[in-house]
Amino acid sequence: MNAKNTITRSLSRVISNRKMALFLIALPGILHFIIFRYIPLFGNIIAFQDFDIFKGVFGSPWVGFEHFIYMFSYPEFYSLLRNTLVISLMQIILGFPAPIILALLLNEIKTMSFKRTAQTLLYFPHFLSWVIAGGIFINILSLNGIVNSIIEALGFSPIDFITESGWFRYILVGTGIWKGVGWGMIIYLAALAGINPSLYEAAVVDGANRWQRMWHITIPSLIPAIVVLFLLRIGHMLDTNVEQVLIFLNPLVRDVGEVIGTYVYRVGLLSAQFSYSTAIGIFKALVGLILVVSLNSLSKRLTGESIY
Amino acid sequence: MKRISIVILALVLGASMVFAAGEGESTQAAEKPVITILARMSNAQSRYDLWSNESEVVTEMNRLYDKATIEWEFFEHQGGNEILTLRFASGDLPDVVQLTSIRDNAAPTAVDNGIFVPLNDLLDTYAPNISAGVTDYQWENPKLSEPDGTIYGIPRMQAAEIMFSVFARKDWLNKLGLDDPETIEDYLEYFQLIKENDMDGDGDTTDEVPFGVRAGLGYSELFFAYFGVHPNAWQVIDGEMIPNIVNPDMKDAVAFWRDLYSKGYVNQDMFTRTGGDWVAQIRGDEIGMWCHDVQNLNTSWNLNTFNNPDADLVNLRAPRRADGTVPLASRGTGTGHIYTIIADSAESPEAVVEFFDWHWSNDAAMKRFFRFGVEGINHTIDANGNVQYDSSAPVNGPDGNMGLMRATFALNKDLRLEEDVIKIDQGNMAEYILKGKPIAAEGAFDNPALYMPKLKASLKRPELGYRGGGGTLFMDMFAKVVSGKEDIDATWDAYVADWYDRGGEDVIKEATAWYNQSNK
Repeated sequence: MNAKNTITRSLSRVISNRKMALFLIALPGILHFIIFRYIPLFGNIIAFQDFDIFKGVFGSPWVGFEHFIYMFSYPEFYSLLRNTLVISLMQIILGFPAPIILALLLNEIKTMSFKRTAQTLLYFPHFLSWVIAGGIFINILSLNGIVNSIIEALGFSPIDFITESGWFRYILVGTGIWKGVGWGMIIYLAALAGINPSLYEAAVVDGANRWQRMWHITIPSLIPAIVVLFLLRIGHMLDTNVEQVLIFLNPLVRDVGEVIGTYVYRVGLLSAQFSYSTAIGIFKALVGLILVVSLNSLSKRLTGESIY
Repeated sequence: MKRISIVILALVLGASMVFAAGEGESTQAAEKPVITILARMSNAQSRYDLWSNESEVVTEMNRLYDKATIEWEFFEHQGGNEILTLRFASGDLPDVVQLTSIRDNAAPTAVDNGIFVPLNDLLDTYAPNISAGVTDYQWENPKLSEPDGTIYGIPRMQAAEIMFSVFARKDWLNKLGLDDPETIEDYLEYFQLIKENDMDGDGDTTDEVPFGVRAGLGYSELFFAYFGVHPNAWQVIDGEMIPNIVNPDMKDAVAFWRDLYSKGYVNQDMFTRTGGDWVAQIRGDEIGMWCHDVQNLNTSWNLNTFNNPDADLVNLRAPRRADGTVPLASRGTGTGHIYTIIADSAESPEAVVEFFDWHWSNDAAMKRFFRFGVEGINHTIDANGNVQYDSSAPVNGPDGNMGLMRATFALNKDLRLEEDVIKIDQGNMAEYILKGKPIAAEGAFDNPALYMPKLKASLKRPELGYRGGGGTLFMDMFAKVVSGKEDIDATWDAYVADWYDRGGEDVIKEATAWYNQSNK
């Protein structure tokens, strides 16, 4: 009976200590990160080995920087890097503003039922897999698809969009926007909902029209969300959605469409080149890290906003 | 007091349950071994749910083979390589694993690390039927054994040596007043007439495609062997092993394909057409000719699946060359996929080998089971001892369990083209299969690279290959020239030079060395 009381008393003392309590609440999350994010980082060591799944990390031979040297001396490497960067930049320049614009538009709608229905329909494509979405678009854009039927009806000759180098990147980015814009705007809609309505009322009293209200109130209120999401996005600069590119890629557009991710998929699949794929992964992560760190400090200086 | 007694009671109950379970296991182990097999689902949609370890079929199999209990485990066809790789990496493996070869991409160094059980002695002692049924030459296949002669894989034979064939719409040929095409001119005439006429009766002469081709030339390598350069094969020229994809004659084949494309004889989206769409278009009266495997007449090309009730099919020979041959596809090794025994998992490799040997034996009940299913459910035996099999019964149809029986569960061979199967399973396509099988066989030619193992020089240069496993140089050149985007002369020369530059020289050197060494 006495032991029970002592235990209860010391427990409550620990919990009432604020710092301890916070630490205990955060503990599961911290453990999750240590176990599933930081410890696996040591696995990157296989990029410096000739990894054999049966020999394991401690039994596989060491090869130093061989994989990195091979990667940089691969004739197509710079073309892969270029394609990856170009497609990523296009996705950012064209694709990053899209959810913001859509959120701003949707915010102006006053009929709640329409707003909600539109929202649901807009973020529905996000849940489709690229196998389905890609298949639909390949059909629509094919030579005897709907788009070309319209083009022919207007008197022009049909365009094979998916196999034209000039169109391919735009198709990738465009379909990507279609699929992701509804989901991306949710955060912005949430930020917009948090704007104090009295600001708008004050602006109306001062004689501001719709555009002026948007420029002076709405957009500045969104800046924190925009900066954070943009910085997070930059870290994935070299990633490009591999699943999407694989679905659309064909021999006629390889020079503009093959990205680092699809190359790793081809080489990795061929002879289970774990070490080589890891080396490429390290390269991508390093580039992403440098971009995030430098842009973060830049953003801190320019806008005062940053992620850390 | 009460609390303590409850705790003691719980402990006693728990302990007795543990001992009881242990008791059951040990008696089971003394009876017969359990063999676990990991196999890959085929691409076709089949009812794998009917093959759970408790199903009638597997229960019947275990009744017929009473020396061991067999348990099956399947993994998806899509992404199967990644699943297998993970299993090998984690060491979570059953007794038997189905692979494409002992150097399968999922575990290319397994042999070097002693993962598989060497089978030579086991086969000699426990598998008389397998040893009698597989020739020494077939054992030399690098899919099954290492150059030093150690065998690590048990073969599963394909349905026939050559199953690849050309299919054409017989009703369209009749409508156009043509005989079955034999020469290249016959083929081109068939194509031209399809373009000029309305074949499906909708009034539009332009919506039919003479030759339906899939993305990446999947199952569509026609008009290559005619020029002597099937892209999958190699040839010995002036003592060197040269792959056909850089053979000078390939330029003629590519030029021919370019003409097919510009005349509209092949579908203009041949570089992006998926398999699923291709099948739908064939069944939808849009395509006059295509290529596939003969045994699929029962499934993909069953006339019941065609929209047009008057549709009829015929298998064609490939166009005849000047020397009278009709080459289409290279003669295979006969071996389809293989089975390996995992050293660390298999408690009794002898029991496994015996089980496989059973499939190669002349056990009448076993043969009847794998060909015609469970007695009383899929077939019955009449008074004279003959098999009575109703192919139209639902249990024997696409929604039943027979599709998997012959294609997956018979571990010795794909039984779909066996004579007795075709004769008794008088499905509506039986006659077509009987006619198509020998026609397909005529298309075989010999490929000197048949037993060539993966070349080290090409491991780091996947783009030098034909297509599977990362090959891109040839397919990219082919696509650009055939679609008319680039001129053939300049592009061909640049492509060949590029191929040699990137390591093609080393590939040829290694291949030639292998050829000389294995043909001493």
